[in-house]
Amino acid sequence: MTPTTLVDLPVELLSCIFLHLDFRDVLRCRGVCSSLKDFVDDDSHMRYKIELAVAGMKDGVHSTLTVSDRLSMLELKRDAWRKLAWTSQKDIPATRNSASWELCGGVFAEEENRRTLHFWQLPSQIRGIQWREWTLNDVGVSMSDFGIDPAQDLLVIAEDIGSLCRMHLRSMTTGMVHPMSPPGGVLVHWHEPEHAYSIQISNDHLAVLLTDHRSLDSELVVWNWKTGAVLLLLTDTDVLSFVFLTSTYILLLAFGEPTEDDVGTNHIGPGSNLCLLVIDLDRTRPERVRVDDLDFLCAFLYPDLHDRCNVIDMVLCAAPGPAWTPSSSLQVPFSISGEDRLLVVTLKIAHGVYWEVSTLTSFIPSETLLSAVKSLPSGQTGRVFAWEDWGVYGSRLEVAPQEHLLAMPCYVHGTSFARHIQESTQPLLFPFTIEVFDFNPLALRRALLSSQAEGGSSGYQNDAAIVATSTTLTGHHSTIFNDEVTTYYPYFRRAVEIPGRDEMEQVLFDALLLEEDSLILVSSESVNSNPFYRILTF
Amino acid sequence: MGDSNRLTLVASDGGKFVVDKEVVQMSVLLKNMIEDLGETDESIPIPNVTSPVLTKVIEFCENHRTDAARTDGPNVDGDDARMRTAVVSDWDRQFFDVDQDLMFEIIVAANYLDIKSLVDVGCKVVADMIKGKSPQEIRDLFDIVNDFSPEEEAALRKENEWANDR
Repeated sequence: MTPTTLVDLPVELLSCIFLHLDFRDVLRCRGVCSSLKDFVDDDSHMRYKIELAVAGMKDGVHSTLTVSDRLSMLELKRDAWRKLAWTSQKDIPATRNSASWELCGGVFAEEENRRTLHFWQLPSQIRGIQWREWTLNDVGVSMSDFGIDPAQDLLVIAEDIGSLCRMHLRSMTTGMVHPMSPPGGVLVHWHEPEHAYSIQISNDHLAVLLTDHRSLDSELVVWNWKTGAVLLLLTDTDVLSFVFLTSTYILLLAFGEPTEDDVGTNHIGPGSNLCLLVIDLDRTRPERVRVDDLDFLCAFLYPDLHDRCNVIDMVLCAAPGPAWTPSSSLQVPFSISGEDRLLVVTLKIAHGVYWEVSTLTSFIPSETLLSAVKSLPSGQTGRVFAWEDWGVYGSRLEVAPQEHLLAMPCYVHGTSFARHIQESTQPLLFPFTIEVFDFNPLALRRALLSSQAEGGSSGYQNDAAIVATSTTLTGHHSTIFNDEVTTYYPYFRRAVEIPGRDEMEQVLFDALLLEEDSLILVSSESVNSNPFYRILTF
Repeated sequence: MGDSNRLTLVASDGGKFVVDKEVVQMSVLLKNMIEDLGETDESIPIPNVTSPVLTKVIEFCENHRTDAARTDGPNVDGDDARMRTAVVSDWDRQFFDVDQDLMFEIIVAANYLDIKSLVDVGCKVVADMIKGKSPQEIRDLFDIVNDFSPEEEAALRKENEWANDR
């Protein structure tokens, strides 16, 4: 047998080798010689691998479809979202005065009369997910709020008995105690009554933020829900919002001051106290700790707010969780990878001579924060990053065209953000506008570089919607911060006008929610006699 | 006459190897051949594989004969993804610590003989050699001639620039 080297191998062996490489290695091999380039360009596994990475998706290992089918589905999905061309729409009635609902991992859930839960598995034509609905008629306790994680079939029900909060760990599909929960299936926590919940789940971690209705003081508890162990108990804080940045890092949107002792070269000026704090759950102790005494990993400061400026409300959100994987029973061809996610901070601020109220939206790709965290010498904590060091080029800060409904923070999914623009408070004749922003870093880099390149062998130039110019807060918005604020992070902007069911339809929508395969319009209860959700399916 | 549990394999250069039937059957090609032949004392020629390569292939199969039962299971083909993520064991890594010609010949022989576990480990070893390397480093490693013109190379570099590590 003649001596063999890499390029002489039969195609089936090259395929086998290349399956073990990530898309960056595959692209580097493409630059080695013409025979490897031809191999990569002709192999559908390789094209699928590259396109998955660019789309921010991961392969569905339980799918039985062929790779070329998955590749064409991926292209179908990308094109549909690029054009905002959904394939069907459906209205489902909303429960009147429902106290709470959740949207997570393709499942929409709504509570009724504090004891009943309705679930809808949102469908997808492109990814082949069937519409399914089920109801838990009586969960057996009076619900104050609830949270879900369809990947683990986990339903967390919060119940208040005086100042005792009981968190019931149940199966989402049967309502029974979750088989992975500790004996009894209940976690308890003592807290002053009269508070709101925010419940989030990432793998073994269950995080619950309790915020007092009156004082707005809040308390954040993180459990390992499978063992019942408390990992973090942050009390008496101005923390109003949080997300899981990774499975072990929690990101807090805080209005407290990071301690000034150990900030190294970065000096924190007075008043500059709006910040994002990263907490490493592997380093926390299960004792009550105040945010000022917290051994945080690092903090990201916003620019100094003007003296005559009041933050009325603020929300941080991102979805799905960093470790999200859809249930294997769905057999999806691919799903959001979670490697890159978008974090969105929404700030409602009163400012200026007349205390005018503005809504600011701060878009932060997770890579901005994670690369800063990665740059920390191991063991270092308490590092403070000034706005100039992370925000100017690593994020985008814009004035929202109209107020967000902060109570419905489900306008982010993966690297995308959605909003509807319907400026009147009266029911409106259609059409009105839906906007979707995409901050996927790889797709942006590829599109920006290929639009610079001459020729145009690739089709990405058709992405005419890249916003690559900077944003500066001007006019009366320039009074929000002390100094002029300009941000540069690029993004794709796609907008579409949405028509009514018929020419006569008049509806006011309160909110637009975003999921992996759907946009959901939430009709306003105040105007519409029969509130409903309009689900636009891709 | 001969031991019915053992067989003789003949390499392309005439080298003879007496091997346990159980070990030989890790090769799907030979397993099918034995089934077709039935009980026989005849030796089996392997015209595409030289003695040094066949020595290594047999060494691998003898070491892995105990996991043969597992890899024979019916759901192996469906579990590609899981096999792909498994790490190469220390023994396998040392097994492939040979010169490159021999390494590739073992992989090609394993492919010809249809020994899935050996193909898989070999491909993983090669993939590990490629990971994280630049095109020039890959050329140097495998002695590959760069047949791109400077213009083509520059264009390719530009085309792939978006994927460069952040």
